Amino acid sequence: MKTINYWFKRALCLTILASVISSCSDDDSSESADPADVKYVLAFQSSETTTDDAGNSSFNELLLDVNTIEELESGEISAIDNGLPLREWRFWHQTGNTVFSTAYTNVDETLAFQVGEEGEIEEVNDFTSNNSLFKNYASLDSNTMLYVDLISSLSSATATSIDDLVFSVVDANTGLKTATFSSPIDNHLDPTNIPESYLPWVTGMVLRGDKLFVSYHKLAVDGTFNTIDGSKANIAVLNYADFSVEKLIEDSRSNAVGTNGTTTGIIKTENDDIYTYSSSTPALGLTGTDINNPSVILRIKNGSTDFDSDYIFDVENAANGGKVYSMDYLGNNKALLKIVVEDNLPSSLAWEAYTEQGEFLKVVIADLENKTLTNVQGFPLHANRYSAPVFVENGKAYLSARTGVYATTWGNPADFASGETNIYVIDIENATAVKGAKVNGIAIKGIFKIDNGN
Amino acid sequence: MTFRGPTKSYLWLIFTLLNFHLVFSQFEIKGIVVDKKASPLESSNIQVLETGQATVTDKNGAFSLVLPKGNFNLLVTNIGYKSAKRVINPLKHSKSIIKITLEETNETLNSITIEAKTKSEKIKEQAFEVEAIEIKEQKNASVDVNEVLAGVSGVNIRQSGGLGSSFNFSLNGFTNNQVRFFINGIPQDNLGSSLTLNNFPATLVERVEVYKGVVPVFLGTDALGGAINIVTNQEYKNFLDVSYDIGSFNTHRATLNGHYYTAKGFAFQLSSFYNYSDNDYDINVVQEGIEGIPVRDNLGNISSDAIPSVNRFHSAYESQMIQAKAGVIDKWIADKLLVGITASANDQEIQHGIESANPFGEVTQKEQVVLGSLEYKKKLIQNKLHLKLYTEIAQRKSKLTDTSSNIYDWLGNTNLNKQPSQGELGIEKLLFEFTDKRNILNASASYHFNKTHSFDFNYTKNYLKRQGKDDAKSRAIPFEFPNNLDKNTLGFSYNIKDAFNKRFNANLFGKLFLGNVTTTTDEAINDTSSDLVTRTLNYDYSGYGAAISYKILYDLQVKASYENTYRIPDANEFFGNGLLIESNPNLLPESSQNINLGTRYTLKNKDLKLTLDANYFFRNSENYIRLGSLGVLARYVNISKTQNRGLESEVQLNLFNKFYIGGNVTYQNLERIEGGNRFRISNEPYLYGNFNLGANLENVFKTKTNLAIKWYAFYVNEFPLLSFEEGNPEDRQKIPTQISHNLQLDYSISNGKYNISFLTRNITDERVFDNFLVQQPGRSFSIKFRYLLKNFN
Repeated sequence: MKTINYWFKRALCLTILASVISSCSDDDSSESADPADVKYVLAFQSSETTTDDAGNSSFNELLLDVNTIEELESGEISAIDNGLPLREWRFWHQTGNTVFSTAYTNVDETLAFQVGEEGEIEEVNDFTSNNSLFKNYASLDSNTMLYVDLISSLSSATATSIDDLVFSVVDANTGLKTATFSSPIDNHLDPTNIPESYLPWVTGMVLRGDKLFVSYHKLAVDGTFNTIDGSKANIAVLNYADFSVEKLIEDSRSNAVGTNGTTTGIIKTENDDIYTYSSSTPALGLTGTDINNPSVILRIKNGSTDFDSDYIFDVENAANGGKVYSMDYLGNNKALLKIVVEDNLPSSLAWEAYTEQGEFLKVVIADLENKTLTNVQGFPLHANRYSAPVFVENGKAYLSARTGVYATTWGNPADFASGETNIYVIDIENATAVKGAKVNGIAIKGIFKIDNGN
Repeated sequence: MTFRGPTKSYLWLIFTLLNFHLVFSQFEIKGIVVDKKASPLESSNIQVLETGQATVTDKNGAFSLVLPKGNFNLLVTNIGYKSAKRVINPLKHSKSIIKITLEETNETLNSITIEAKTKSEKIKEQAFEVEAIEIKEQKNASVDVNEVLAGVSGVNIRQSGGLGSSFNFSLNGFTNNQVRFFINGIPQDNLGSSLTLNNFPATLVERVEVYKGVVPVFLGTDALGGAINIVTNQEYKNFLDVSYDIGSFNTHRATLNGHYYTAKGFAFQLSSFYNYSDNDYDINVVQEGIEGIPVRDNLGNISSDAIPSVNRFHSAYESQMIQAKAGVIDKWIADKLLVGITASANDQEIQHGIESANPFGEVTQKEQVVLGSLEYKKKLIQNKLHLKLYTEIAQRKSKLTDTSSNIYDWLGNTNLNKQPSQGELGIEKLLFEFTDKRNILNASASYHFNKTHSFDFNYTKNYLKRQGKDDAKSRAIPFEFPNNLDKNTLGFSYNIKDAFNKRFNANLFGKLFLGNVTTTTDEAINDTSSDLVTRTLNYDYSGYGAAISYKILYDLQVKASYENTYRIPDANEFFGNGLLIESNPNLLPESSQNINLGTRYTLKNKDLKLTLDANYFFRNSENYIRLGSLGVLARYVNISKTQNRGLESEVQLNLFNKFYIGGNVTYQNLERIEGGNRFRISNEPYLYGNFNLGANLENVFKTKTNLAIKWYAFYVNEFPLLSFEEGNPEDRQKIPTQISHNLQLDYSISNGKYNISFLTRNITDERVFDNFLVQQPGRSFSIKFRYLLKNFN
């Protein structure tokens, strides 16, 4: 077992050293980091499962690290005798030079990892939350990570209010949580009309200036995760950093924006335009009965806090289009979209696209300005739904994808024996992909590059 | 040619193995043991000193033995009688019945316990792979039935805390509901946590039988991987047994147990227990890699300070049970007819979830069971046909309370949860209650064609209805509409016992599992409308098996047994809970093919008894049921194949009827097979054992007294939580090796009438973990007083 006291001492030394070195080395800051001080961190989801002492089983997850990007482009990635084993299904998020990982259980510790002085991965902090299972993450800048604790139902049948969401601000340099704020965002409780009561379910957060834009679904208050009034886009504009509600905006050209379980429901370009998207299928957890708009991308222009009524990108009906599963920003007004190929799903029942093996997602590159979609040649139809924001380096995006027959029986490891996972390297400019390293596991849930500042 | 003397056993063993077919020139001798009034003496022990053979007289005082030519000394003993020795010559005596008369004496109980075959030994000699433990000295000690079972090879019990805490029972790699529990042959599933075996002080129990992998038909249920049968006192003798013990962590346990039989054949039986413990033992590890209890600031950041240790503070447990039965015995209408009522309850504070990092301060669970029973036994057709009937109506109520908005730390400090809709253990508050109604009908008949051949039939109906409610919850409630499970097990068995000069036993059996499950769920999208959907699923599966044993030598037995068996899914596994756990009507039962190959060697003479047991087991299982998830939804699914191969062995040596030493070790390789790949299953002990050493001394300080001292230890080798292969070896999470030593000292006077017992558990104050980061109690002490009055009128 690793000992955290040891790590703390190391981290303390590192922090002191780092501040000394960085203050001394200001003048040669243009020099790129020594390769020994850079790590590519992989959130590895194994095909091995563990049954915990309550009888629940989940795929194991490990933190792996490699030294060069080439190791993602060829060869094999395996956790045999390799990597730091972590417990349970996990959320992964990078801000600055820190990778955060939180278990999706009531043991709700978030672990913060950095590259140590000698190029090794170190745990620099862990913090607990509010006993909460459901979270969403964002990087406000390279120094600040923000996460929010969600709720999924009322506190009791006789409750007269809905809990606020709790926002936590984390210093990405130290991995320390520095403040929490409560904010309702948007909710509605009418005890005489429970079917129209709702609570907010965050699908993405983006900071522009002193305004935080939060995309969300309205969920039923009865814990069923059904969407309420799902044929509108809803975004809350909050004042940063007190998280008070500045305004709520909605747009009826779209369905509810973002996807349950992803963090990139809303993105920001270099010129501070903000884009958001809607899906339109229960297979992606949009389970209301009133979902009648197509899957589209909407915009909030730089300087504005309202939807741009002149802009709509109907992805569902565009060439190479379909229903959007997720959207990641690649730079230069280009986004990587995962689109659901509905014909390859066994049905459009709720949550069907959440299995980890199948051939029902395709990858396209969207030009947000010109409203065009380009299929990425060489990227197969695949599964692997969860991903931390897509990793991009030198004009290439790196993304894990699992191919194989649709795993119909819900996490039965035997169903995954026939599948294969690879990293694919996407040339963004040319919209082509080549098969990279083979992954001896279910997925790489996140690829992160961090260095120790040396 | 003669049978071996006590000292040259080893060479003789090899010699005999090579020549055993030459020694069969055999004679059956018959005899009867009586007292001075010529009344037959049941349960007299007959031992052949030259061969170590032993037998016990039946109800009529009769016995029989098969011996070769020569002269043999028979030692005949019985409790309360002077032992007698007779020289017999089988050639001469095989044509007559030998009569042996015993004179009464004040000889104490313990002197003869190992001289003849006990009931346990007889059970162990069945063709099944079965372990039987006669509970004698443990009755005096502060132990429960689980602690007795923990001493059985192949058994591993993982507890989540102190007295009364939840536990995982594992037998040859099968866990929880794959192994079924019985009391006197009646299934105990779905009776809840107030009647699990960790509630039963050993004082209430006579014997524990552990059937590994292959389960005889008299235990009528769908056991996938074996069954445990607890046997209580079945003798028609009056007794009164009262005990009280007090121990560390404010632990109190009491029992009151007695049988009274009138001369006219009326029977009254009472059995009861009370358990209480604060379980406030100190712990010093709750988080991976951190010594002591970590301190966090009010935002939840961990600091480099840690508190060396804390006491568990919300861990108390209380349980009680009372059972009364009345009826008649030995009447023309019935050999036994008893009507009974049982009431039990428990109240448990829950200190933490799966791991102990975040303590709870207010979560509680309560259960209640009320149960009425009727049992009937009758022998017909010159005692050749044995009929048994048992029927029971039980109601169990269970209530889980998690309504606190406080977040606790290990010092008991609280912070108000900023999202008060959440409880301590769930994602929302709970005040969840459910009621089970369980009806059992068990009918069995066995026909004994003669002493060797018999036929058994067993039918068990186990009907369960579950209904739930929740006053705290805002949404639909699990089991809001009842779930029904109607399980019927029919078993047939043909048995051969003691054939071919008592060398050969065999059982051939078949089982039918028939029944249906029904559930109703509200599938409406929101909770103002309702859309009740009722589903029913019928099932029928048939299993079969066989067990044979053969004594290559009188003291060397080989065994083989096989069963192809099923575990039928429970209603909630088929149908989910109507909420986020969806139904899966295509769910298949768990199935397994279980094979045991064993040998048992016994060397026995006046001064020494040595038994060696070894068993190889193979389990080939399919369709294990686990909860799988998709998005926010979950569903029970059949997962891949598993195989378990293992070896368990046991050695026990007794010297001069006074000293003993022994132990057992189990090793298993439990694997999951996916496609062509094999993964060794983690979070499951694979090498474990236990050891004992002790002495029973009579007449110490005073006559009619007994002094017993016993050291025993449990060992579990370290095992990985997540994977045997993945991760840096030095970073893998492990449940560390545990060795806990225990010391027990008992003193009895007046032939066991007054007993006092001291027990120190975990003498070396070892940090013991059964589950990852869930620490077990350190050193603890207890003292128990027991009063036993026997054979009064």
